[in-house]
Amino acid sequence: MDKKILFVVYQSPVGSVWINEAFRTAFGMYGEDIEPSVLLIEEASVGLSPDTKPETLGLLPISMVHRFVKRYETSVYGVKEHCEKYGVKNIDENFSAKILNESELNGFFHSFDNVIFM
Amino acid sequence: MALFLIKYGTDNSAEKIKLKNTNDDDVLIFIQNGVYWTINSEINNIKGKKFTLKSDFISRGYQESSSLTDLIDYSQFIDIIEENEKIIG
Repeated sequence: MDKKILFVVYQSPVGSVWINEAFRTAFGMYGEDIEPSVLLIEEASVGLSPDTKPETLGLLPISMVHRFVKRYETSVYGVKEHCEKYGVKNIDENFSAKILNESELNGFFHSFDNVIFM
Repeated sequence: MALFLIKYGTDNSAEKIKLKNTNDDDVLIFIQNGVYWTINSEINNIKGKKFTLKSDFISRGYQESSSLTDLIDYSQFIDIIEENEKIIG
């Protein structure tokens, strides 16, 4: 049975590369009997918005992960309260993200074999 | 049941989220700057069996007697990690 691993990104997508790194690490796990998922919380929540464009500052675009998210059908999650807190009005449909309530996080974290905050 | 590794201080948003989502049967180990969570009584409100890495605690100027959790050494730290399959770190 595949091992379930969750990458939790909590740092801003502009000024840190962690969102791209989380997806890159997740994509690298396919074929290893590992089922990776990615959760964006706190400041990283703005990475879910189609309006977030680090490339305008010469940084890595988040959109570069979209085609791989589709190809591998990587599960992407956000947290409703954090999206509201950081003014994320709409979610980029390329992620097909599922939005959790903060109250669901306890059960959600415990449903994975490993959870890695990055 | 899971093992939570807390390594950042009290202003870190990730550690706040982790510590809000522990259960009574979880194990928490505070290492590095995570020891700062263990120096005030609010630590008692956090669910789970709590341990602090002694060397990280003492190196930050605290007395063993002032610890609010069990202090463990490195070999005990490794034993606890090996005992737990699920790790949230």
